[in-house]
Amino acid sequence: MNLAALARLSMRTRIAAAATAAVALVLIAGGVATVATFANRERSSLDRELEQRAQGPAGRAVRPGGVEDGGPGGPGPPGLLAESGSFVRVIAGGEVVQAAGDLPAEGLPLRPAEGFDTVTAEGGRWRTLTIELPPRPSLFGDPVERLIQFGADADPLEERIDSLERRVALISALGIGLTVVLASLFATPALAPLSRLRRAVAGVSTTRDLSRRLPEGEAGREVDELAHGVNEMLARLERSSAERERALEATRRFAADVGHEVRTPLTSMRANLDAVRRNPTMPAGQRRAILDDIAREQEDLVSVLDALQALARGDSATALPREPVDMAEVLDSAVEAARRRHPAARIELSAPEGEQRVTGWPEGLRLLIDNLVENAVRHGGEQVLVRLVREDHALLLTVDDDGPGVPAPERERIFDRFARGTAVKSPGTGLGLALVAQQAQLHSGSVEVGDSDGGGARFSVRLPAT
Amino acid sequence: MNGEPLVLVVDDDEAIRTALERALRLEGFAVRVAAGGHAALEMVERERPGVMVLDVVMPDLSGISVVSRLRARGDETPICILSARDEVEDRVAGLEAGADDYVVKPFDIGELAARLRALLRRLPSADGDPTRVGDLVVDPARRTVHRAGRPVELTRREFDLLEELARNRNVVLSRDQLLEKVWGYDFAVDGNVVDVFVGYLRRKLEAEGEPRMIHTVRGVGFVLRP
Repeated sequence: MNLAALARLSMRTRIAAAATAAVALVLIAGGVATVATFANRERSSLDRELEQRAQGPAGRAVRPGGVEDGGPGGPGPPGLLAESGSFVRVIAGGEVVQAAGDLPAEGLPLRPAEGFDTVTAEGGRWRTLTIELPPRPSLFGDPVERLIQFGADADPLEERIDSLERRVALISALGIGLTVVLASLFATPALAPLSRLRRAVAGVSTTRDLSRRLPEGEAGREVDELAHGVNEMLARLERSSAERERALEATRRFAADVGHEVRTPLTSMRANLDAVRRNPTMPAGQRRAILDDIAREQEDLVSVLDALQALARGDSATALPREPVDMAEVLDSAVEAARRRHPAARIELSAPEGEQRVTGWPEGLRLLIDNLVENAVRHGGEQVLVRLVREDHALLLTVDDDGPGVPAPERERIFDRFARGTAVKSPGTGLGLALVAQQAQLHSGSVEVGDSDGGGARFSVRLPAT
Repeated sequence: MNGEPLVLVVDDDEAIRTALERALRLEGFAVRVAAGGHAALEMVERERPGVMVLDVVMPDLSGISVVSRLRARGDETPICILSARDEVEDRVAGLEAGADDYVVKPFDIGELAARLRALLRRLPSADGDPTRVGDLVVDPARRTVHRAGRPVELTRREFDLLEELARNRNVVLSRDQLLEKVWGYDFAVDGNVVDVFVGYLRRKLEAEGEPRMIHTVRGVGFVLRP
């Protein structure tokens, strides 16, 4: 099985497989150790028996100083006896010279090595102990090498060992099989919390209800931690989904407002244009008045478009250009421009000497000031006072007018897009103060509206100073 | 030539070309139109217009490139660029490349015509000895500027503005005075062209960390001090 296939296995199978592997390991190791211990003990007991026989009378009989042995094929020496299932033989020069007991007819090697050995002869297994005897002097030169070999039938013993092996193997196999079955059975309840979790998650995803939460504290630690993690993720998703919903709603409302704001002047422009086209003979004065209206409506439309573009730019400003800006300089330039635009208004500027530095986007700060001053001129009377005051870590910009002011209930929403004061005599785009609020926010500042000393409105913008 | 000043209008949008051509004719200009940057460059060679109205954003060759190429070949035809309100970067690039003024689309034809007439009145280049103010040397004859021995590259309109400020050193000049003397605008002008060009001059004169020479006098205007 390759790794990919392994990864696809169910948790239940994996748990069962892990348990089975553990049990199998224990059973096999235990079985092997048991059989080995038993076999070892049995075999050494047989070896000791062979050793004892070698020390006994049969062994002694053929040793120097013992009973002289007979010739080959002759009757065995006294004591060269063997019980049933065992034998003893003397080999000299590769030939059996004496033998007794249940000697297997053939198959025994005639030049065995010294020491213990297990040999197979006549279909049975024999344990042998071979000892070298002192050589017997020969009539024909070289002394003949002599060996005495004791043998015992190892079959009963090996059968006992084999039988034990078979029993152990059977028990192990049964144990492993039982483990497979039991582990599979027990894995299901063990995995139940996980299944419940899976069903709960599936429930969230089918109902798309992000307010649902998974049960916590009902299962094992790992599952609980998982449930907790999923719940935190759900909470985050719920929050961001709510924010997105609000943003979408705001965008929808804004799009509808834009349509309305643009369609209205376009409609009256069309009416005015048609009036001029269909009445070529209208009095010059009337014609002039209508054309002026058209030009003004066109200018209003341009203002709305400018503001919309500026707002869109601010909305999408992920990385605002940031550079040191001397607010006093920008204010001076903006106020000068406003004076040229509104020669009838009295616009005063008061700012501390020297550079008044903030870090920000010069265009955006200019936009903020332009819109505050424009708002003051439009809704105020004849006087506008622009003041820049240095605070501890901020610059406070106030724009006062001598108009009717902003009623307290309207102060919150006056910075909303297309929000206009109820007591306003000459409505503007409805976007100027929204732009002010947007730029203040983009520059990590704040804006609020209150009362000026002269009874009009005072707009205050606080920007962090550099 | 019938004596009417010739305006070259360059815009890739046909509606704007047609409307501008008609409106400027009615204002008393002779008008030629070009639909793109390459056509504009050819027509400047052939027709020698007195002034150009140049759209910034054009598909074939941008207005900025047109300005750069003209100035690179020594052509000092006054150029007024047209840009949308939100095309600030393009406008800045056009002015830095050597354009003389800008108007924001849509604009008042009366105001555009007034600006074009002013730009057509080529101000006589002031001759005379170099003016020294502190470590600044402005040489009107050779149209060169040095600050602390370092040559400063200026466009024509930047040079004119600096020369005016240098000749009136220690005298505060209002924006209206500068508009009139440097641009020839003797009428109310919307916009910040003086502020914009003062910004460019400051940047170029202070490029090596030198102290400020052109100071703002709040509520009044600008002054050059050593």
